[in-house]
Amino acid sequence: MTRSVVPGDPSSLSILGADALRAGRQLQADAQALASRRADEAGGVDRTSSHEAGTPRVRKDLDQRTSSLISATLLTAEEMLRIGRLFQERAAELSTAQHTLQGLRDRATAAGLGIDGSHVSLPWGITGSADADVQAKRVADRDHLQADLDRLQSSASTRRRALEREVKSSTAALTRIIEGLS
Amino acid sequence: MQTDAGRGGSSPWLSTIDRLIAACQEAEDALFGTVPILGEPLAQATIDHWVDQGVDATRRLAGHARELRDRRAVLDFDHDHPDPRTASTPGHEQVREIEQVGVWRECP
Repeated sequence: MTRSVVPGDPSSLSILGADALRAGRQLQADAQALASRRADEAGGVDRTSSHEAGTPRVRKDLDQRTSSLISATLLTAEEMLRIGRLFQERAAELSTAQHTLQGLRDRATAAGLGIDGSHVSLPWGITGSADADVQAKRVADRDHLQADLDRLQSSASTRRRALEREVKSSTAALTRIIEGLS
Repeated sequence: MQTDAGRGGSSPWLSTIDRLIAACQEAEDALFGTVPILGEPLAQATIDHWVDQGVDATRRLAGHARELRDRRAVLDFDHDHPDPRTASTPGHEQVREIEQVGVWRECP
């Protein structure tokens, strides 16, 4: 059997998207909490801390590293939220496309045709009809179905490439974020 | 897997950073816990690479946070247990406490 024109498992992509969204939200919340705590210390609100302990150099270094951690965490969270949403959108599109493909298969079967990968095919051998009109209609049905299948494949391919571009850009962003973590 | 969530900071700052470390670990587990199936080699490789990078990012963030937490814990300890040599009026109880926790080893 040839590969489907809309391959993939929408539910697994949707689950990954949900996981990325949940992780992104949690990281965002915890980074914001740390930023808030840092601001409280700087403003002297938090009197329970050791904010004034250590040499000025040590305190400054610790504060800079904390700031760097907060920024990197927020940026990482943004990427997870962005790509998580994208995965879920793509999962929904994939599900719709696979439903459309099933509709084309049903139409093909009803017309006495078959879909194998990206091709709509006429049945092999003797089909039980030597009627020229029936044959002509079957060829016309095949051409229509093939056009619909081509459109579906083209659309799925375009969306897949768009997803790849976005995900690659996010991978590069994550790399930069971590490289910038001092 | 080592978990930091239960260690509990002595200050609100330490508690906050412990929660961040726990969030990083949860994010790592979540990303690795799902295997997306794209059914197309290039798309599959692209998403697998993103997952790997996301996991690497959360690990690095957690590592950075742990390092900060440990450094901050030392500062907190110093703050709560000042050096009797430099304290203006180190009390007997304070020195004994430092000896008990074994930090001020040079104490005569």
